[in-house]
Amino acid sequence: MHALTKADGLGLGLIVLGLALQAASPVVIGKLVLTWIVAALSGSVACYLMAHFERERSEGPHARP
Amino acid sequence: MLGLELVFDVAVAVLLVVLALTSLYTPNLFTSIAFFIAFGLVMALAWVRLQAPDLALAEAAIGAGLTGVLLLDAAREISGGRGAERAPRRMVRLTSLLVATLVGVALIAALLEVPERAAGLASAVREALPSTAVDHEVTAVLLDFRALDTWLETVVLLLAVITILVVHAHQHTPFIPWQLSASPILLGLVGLLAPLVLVFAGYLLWAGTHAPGGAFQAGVLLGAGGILLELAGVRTVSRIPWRALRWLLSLGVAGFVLLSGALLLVGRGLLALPDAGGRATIIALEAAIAVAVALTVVCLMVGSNLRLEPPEQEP
Repeated sequence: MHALTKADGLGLGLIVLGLALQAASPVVIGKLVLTWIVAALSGSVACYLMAHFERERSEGPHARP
Repeated sequence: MLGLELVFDVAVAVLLVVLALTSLYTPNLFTSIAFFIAFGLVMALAWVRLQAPDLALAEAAIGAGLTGVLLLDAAREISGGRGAERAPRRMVRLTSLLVATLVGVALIAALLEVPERAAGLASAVREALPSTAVDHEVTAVLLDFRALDTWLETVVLLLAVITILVVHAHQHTPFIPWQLSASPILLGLVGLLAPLVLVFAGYLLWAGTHAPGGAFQAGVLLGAGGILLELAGVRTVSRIPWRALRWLLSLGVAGFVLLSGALLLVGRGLLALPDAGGRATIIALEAAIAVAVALTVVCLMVGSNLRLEPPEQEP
């Protein structure tokens, strides 16, 4: 599963890097990098949230931090 | 290079079938919903390969995003996430298989009848495009040539949201457990994404006149941002009083009614857009539709948290 999640973060970054080499203008490169940043951020926050709510579900809403 | 594209297209087609079958036959409800969301995204990719970027935008936003969220919410209410306890009876399964096979055979036969280079209406639309105020064929068809169909679509959306709100009004447990959502990390991400969603939705709305985009895509994106805010505990739409919200939800229908009324009073046809200022009219209409669609989408999620009647007066 560790290898699987790399495709969403680093893999996407490398794809963006490859596409940026073929980009038509710097604006397109900016959009690609922004897409990668948003995807990486939302992926990590989703992972945290899944762990957080699973812990809350098993230990109750007032679990120690 | 053609071989590479063919390989990619075949891979997308096979992936669609595999994702659909996996989504249907996984015993765990949550897993099948996850595969359904993935199916929606690959379908959006298929639309791009079929050179329909407007449809791809709508499919990614509605099919994968919104429907996935609604399904996850519904799954939470059904047996704690497990699937159905009993498999359907044999007669039901055989009948479904027969119907599916008949429909599949009919579709394939119809597909084989289509000529190799079917022109469709694309050339006719392209020829009539200079007579409209926009530069994009899809927007011209949606808001100029077939504006009546778009009007009826807004009416259908209004009926849907009314129905859902009525159904939600009879439930006692609100869908969104706000007390669970007080997570600073989620709030941080939402604080970063919400302005981005707003800017992007506004751009999609404006870009619809000359590029893929338009009212529905912008509205659904805005609605998705609203749902994200609600899920993070930032109450935006659920704070709007019902007196104002019901007017805002009907903004799409109202926009069309006002426009048609004005055009009929002036003496033109029902939806014959004026030549001067036609672009501004279309953008204003699209903005009204986008706001109505966005609020409709958020109400689908927070419908049970809203208070539909005004607070009762204390005797």
